[in-house]
Amino acid sequence: MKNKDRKTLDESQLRTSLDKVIHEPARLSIMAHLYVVESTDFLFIMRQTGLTFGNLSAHLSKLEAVGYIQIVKEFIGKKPHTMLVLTVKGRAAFENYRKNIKEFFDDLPT
Amino acid sequence: MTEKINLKKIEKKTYMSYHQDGLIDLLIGCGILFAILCFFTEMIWLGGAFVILAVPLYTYGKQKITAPRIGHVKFGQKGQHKTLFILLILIGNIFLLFFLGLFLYRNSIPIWITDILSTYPSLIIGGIACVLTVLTALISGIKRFYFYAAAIVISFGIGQIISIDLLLSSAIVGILFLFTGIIKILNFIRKYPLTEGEIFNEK
Repeated sequence: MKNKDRKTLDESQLRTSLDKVIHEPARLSIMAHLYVVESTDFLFIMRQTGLTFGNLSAHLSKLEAVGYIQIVKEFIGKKPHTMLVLTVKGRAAFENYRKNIKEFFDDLPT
Repeated sequence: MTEKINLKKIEKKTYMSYHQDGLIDLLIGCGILFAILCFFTEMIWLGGAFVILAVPLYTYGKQKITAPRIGHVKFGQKGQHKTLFILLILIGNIFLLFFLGLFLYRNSIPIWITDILSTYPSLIIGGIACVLTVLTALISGIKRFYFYAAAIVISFGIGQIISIDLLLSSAIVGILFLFTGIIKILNFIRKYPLTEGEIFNEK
């Protein structure tokens, strides 16, 4: 009974502690790719994640709205270029997400 | 879920996908063949010019061929150091071949070194080149460098056994690099057409 209560508690803790914005698989993939680089453009992240143009745009807008990523418009030569950077807040949120989910899976019996 | 956020795998995949264009192979192939050409013509300044031009040429190729097709990425300090280290190894490799050839040709190194080099030239040069190539493969994670290392061992090993000229063995390896680079770059261009990339990047 005690174990069951603990498990239930852990699950509910996980539900509340998990960042719903990052938890969505496509956004998790975007965040993970941005975490390992300094900055990247729209095309590179699209190639790496395998998301479509529209889908990626929608997810990037959500991540930008919560302040996890910064979309920087710049010019390379005369061409406009969209660079994506993970913000300090986004980096911290991703690290926190990793920690929480790792703790949860580490506690599971093998 | 934990497998999905294996960051080391993602980092490696990201780094490797940025180097799937074959530019680095082309650069090494040209470098080796250029060093051989410098040795034949005795125009040392040409070798220096190539080393100076190698990095800007590589960067220009990345900007004009790779970035418009698969996008642009800036790696952090770790990634930049990795690329710099690889380029230094490769330039060092070309320099080594060039200077050893030149010194041997002009008889301007100590006799005992000349004796060893003249007895086992292919084994020594091939061995050093192989170790450096394996090191490059280990650092970069680009698996085709293991294939190059094996090709170096075969080319220089056979060269030692049947007494083929050192430069001929080097030329074989240089041509292999160049040929692989051309195939890789053609495949890359076919796989990622330019128009699509330009549209997406102008979002």
